[in-house]
Amino acid sequence: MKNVPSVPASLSPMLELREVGVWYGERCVVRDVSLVAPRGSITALIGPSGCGKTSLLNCMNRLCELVPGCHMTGQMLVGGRDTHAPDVDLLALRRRVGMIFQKPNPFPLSIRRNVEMALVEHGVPRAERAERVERALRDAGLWDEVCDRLDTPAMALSGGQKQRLCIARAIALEPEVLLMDEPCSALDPISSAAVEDLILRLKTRYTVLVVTHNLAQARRIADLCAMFWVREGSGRLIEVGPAAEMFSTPRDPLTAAYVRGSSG
Amino acid sequence: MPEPGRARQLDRAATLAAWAAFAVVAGLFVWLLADVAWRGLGALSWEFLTEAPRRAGRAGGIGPIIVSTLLIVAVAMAVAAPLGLACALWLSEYARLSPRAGRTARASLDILAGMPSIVFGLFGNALFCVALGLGFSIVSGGLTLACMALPLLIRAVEQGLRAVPDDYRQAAAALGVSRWTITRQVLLPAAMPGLIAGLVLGIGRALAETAALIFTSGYVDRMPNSLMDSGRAMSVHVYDLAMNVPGGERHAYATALVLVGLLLTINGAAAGLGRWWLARSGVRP
Repeated sequence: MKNVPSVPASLSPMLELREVGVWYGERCVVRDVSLVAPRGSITALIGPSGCGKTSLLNCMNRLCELVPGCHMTGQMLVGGRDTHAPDVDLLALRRRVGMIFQKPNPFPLSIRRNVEMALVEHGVPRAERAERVERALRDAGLWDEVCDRLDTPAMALSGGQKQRLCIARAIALEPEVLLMDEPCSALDPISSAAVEDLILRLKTRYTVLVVTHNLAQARRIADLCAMFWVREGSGRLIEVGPAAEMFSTPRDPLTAAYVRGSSG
Repeated sequence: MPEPGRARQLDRAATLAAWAAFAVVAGLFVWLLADVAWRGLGALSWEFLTEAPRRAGRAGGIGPIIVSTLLIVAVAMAVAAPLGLACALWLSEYARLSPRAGRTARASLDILAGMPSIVFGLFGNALFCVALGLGFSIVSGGLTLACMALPLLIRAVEQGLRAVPDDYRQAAAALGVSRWTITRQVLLPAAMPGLIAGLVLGIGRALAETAALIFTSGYVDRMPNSLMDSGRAMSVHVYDLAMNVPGGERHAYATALVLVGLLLTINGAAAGLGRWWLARSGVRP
């Protein structure tokens, strides 16, 4: 695969896709994607709408299995382990691979219970929970804003706060990989900047894959950039490489046009 | 293109017709309530509510009949509520990946919901009274009513569950939270209004039922000693007094008034319960 960037030896691959395809019934929406995300890096998935970026992301925590008729071909490894092996515990996999959605979706419960629910589910002892909740909210940069009203409804928070709560909820489980599907697109510029800063701070501890249509954002935060395009009815990875190179000297003419803003 | 004057006339006529339709519906409801109250209030007293009927219901009260009715409805709801809830959960949460099974179940439920109650009566008689040997009893009547109320209950609860945004299910799945946890902690509380509506519909149908009960819980107007006794429901009592007992009209109306009052009370209580539950659980859909 000439397009896969050489990974420095110090950075072991955290997430690895090998010739992955995504199908809805007979329709192939993503074909033949191979991609390596090194530990502690941010990989931006860019490209026009409808080229399968979200579908691909949803395969990485096997959320796509909630959609009737959706299945994946190829191989996907998280921390060297095959995510689709028959002995994989689905709930445990999703604990290791967290996800942030485009639209902030906290549960209609209190702020505390939003973070706690998954901790309880995954057997974190009661004595540790309060500390884990506080740490997650601090890491998400939300603690100072909500520490005096943890038991009030999460639905009363602003859009940006809700999204940071969702991030806190995900990182409270201490996942290895964080999948983010346009995490800032529903937010105003100020909230968006706050979430962006947060993603940069998180990268030292997590491997982040972020789908974004905001190229300036991709350029600011991403280490690697993966460009998708629709060819013959399926989304394909047409170029992948260090983000800086991708934006300065793209190899593919489609990428060049897209990052210049003149196409797609 | 009608000229402006004509368009205005048409508009006025349509408005008038709409208001007339409203007046007819509201008038019918008020007339019905007023008629029952007018003719029934005269016979209503504490004794009427507590005493046993005498001379085939012309004299005395409806104490045992109220008790039998409440027992029948209680049996029906005790069976139908958990079963209906489980079935609605299956339909809305678990049948997603097998759409055909879901469609089949929904079509069956819709047909069952429209089935004449006399058919349920015959079925209940054959199954519960005869085949299962429960005889003419409150249990047989309650189980038959449970079968009748189930389709209404299930569809109402299912609609309540479907109205809960998919975002929560996705978020829960992405956090590795099991379907049962999210159902218990978020979906069911958020679907509570649907559950209450379903219960109220079910109780309403059960309280109003006559035909299905004649064949299953029977006619006996004595105070029941157990759920295995035959017991006369209020609607059956009204039917009997009005059709078979000369001079029974006064008490038929009084019984009907109590029945309507009971229905309104249960509806109000259920709505209040739902609001209390929502406030307590802190879930805001």
